[in-house]
Amino acid sequence: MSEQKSNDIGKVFRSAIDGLSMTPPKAVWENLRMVALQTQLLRYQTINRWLTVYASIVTLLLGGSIVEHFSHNEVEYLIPSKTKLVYQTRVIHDTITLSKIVYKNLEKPSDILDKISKDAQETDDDTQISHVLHKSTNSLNPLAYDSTFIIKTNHTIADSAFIQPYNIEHTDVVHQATITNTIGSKPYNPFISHIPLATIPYLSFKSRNIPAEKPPKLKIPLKNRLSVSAFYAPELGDLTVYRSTPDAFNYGNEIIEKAYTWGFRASIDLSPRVSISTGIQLSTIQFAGTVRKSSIQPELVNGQLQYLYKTVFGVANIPTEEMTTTPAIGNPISVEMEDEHSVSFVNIPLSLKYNAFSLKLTKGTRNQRYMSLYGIGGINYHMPSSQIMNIEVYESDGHDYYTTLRNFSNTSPYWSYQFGIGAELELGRNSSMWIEPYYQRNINSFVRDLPLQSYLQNTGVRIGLKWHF
Amino acid sequence: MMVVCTRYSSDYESAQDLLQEGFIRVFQHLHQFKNEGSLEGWIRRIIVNLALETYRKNVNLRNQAELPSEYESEHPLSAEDILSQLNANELLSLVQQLPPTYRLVFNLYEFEGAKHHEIAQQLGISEGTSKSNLHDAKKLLQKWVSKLMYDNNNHI
Repeated sequence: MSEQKSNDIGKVFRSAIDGLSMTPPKAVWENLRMVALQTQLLRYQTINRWLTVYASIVTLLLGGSIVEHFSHNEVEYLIPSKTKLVYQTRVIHDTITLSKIVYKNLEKPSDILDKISKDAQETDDDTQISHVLHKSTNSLNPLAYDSTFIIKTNHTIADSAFIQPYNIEHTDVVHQATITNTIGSKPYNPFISHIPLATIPYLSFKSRNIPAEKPPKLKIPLKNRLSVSAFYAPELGDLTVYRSTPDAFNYGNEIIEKAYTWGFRASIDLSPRVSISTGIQLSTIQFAGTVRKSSIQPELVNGQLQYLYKTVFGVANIPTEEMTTTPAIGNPISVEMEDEHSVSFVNIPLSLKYNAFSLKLTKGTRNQRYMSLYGIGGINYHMPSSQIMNIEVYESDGHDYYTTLRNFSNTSPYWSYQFGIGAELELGRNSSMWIEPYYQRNINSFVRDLPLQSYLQNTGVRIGLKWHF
Repeated sequence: MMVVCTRYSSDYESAQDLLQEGFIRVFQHLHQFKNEGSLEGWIRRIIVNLALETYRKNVNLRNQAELPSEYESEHPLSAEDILSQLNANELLSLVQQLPPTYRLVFNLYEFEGAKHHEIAQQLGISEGTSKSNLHDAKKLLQKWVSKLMYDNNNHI
């Protein structure tokens, strides 16, 4: 009797307490909210730490390249490189015929003549120095030594080979405009446009006597600065959902299964190093649900009971045409998510690109091929274009059917920022291919008017083909 | 979940703490939830595991209750009588009054459907001790139910 009673008491407690419900005090939820916020802050800090590391690397690359760029210009402009020996022809004076110009770095002004004589002799036994431009009289730049040496060869035929197709008047400053007018037929090469010796082949030396007026900039036709690209980018996506209320936990637990972007990009060079680009892209994200099958109770929407499928990227109304169950309180249905579950966005990007380095990949002067390394950053505007979700609906009477949800509400356009680095390889005179690892993250949530905020962050690699006009 | 937390706690404040700690753990491990069973069951398992962890940390609370000599009820009680005279909250408060080990064993066996060898493994006790604790817990509850019903009837 006692054992029987002992077993019964357990069932009594189970049957009574199992059906009991208790609402925890608001303070508990408030504390939970605070803890959730702190957790989010910690997560933000972790993300920001990695972003800082990534941004530092990009900044170092870009900053280093800028420093390198300007220091390179300074060397070219003020102190010619020790290692470069350039042969040029110019008409210096009426009394001096077409000559070969050699410039070398001058360590000591007093050694100019000896050093250059030696260099010239080493270069060609038959050359002789015919004229030397002496130390600069520019008081603002006392270090600027004229390092132009005119060396006349004894070979008439060889000298004649250096005759230029244009005639520059005698001046210490060769204006770029003059050069532009005379070499207008030279094709523009975006890979080497920022390398003076390569871009303007006949201008390899400037006097350190800085002109009072700044020479006009070299103008390149708009058409030659334009390029278009087509690309594809596989992405590793991560979905971050911030839920502000307990009700937000009814909005699914989707994770990104696959993400990719393809698109077209048009770029225009603002300067030899900086270009701006825009275009159109289509991003597709395929989701997978951590909870594939769930029970759904009808909810009152605009005075009507409807079955709503709630996801982290919007809410869809489950069509009831094929349904045998009448939407009513206490009439739940079960919904199982099928594999097809994707959302697409049309993106408009706006990016700035800085060409940091150009590397010559081949030796010699023929079939030269260049590779450029660059940094890129900008913003994107994303507009939802399509959402597709296949589900199977199970009803309590055993009836089930498949349907596709396409009309999702609460999905909104959003902004994102992105930055990356890239490498561009010249394939031909007008074509190139490029590869561009990048990071992209939402600035604002892509759902609105819901108790949650959804953010995407992607790391991807764009692989593209480019055509230069 | 608040009821689950209350069953595993000795008072309402401890139940609140357990609920809060449990949901913090849910937030932290939400990404680990897989498509195996319901979300509710997963959260419930987290809270039960947390209650077990709390029990293991507070080893000094494992004092066994001294069963009163007259704990055997003299009045036979049927399930209908108990459920008609006592409400669920009163029964829940009786579970809370059980000594910690008895409460855990009773909850795990009656509400979570755990077997005695599983309970023994989780609590670090022998299987025989688990059976004995469950038996004693039920005896205590039976006595307290009888007393409560008797008090209620006399009060009326």
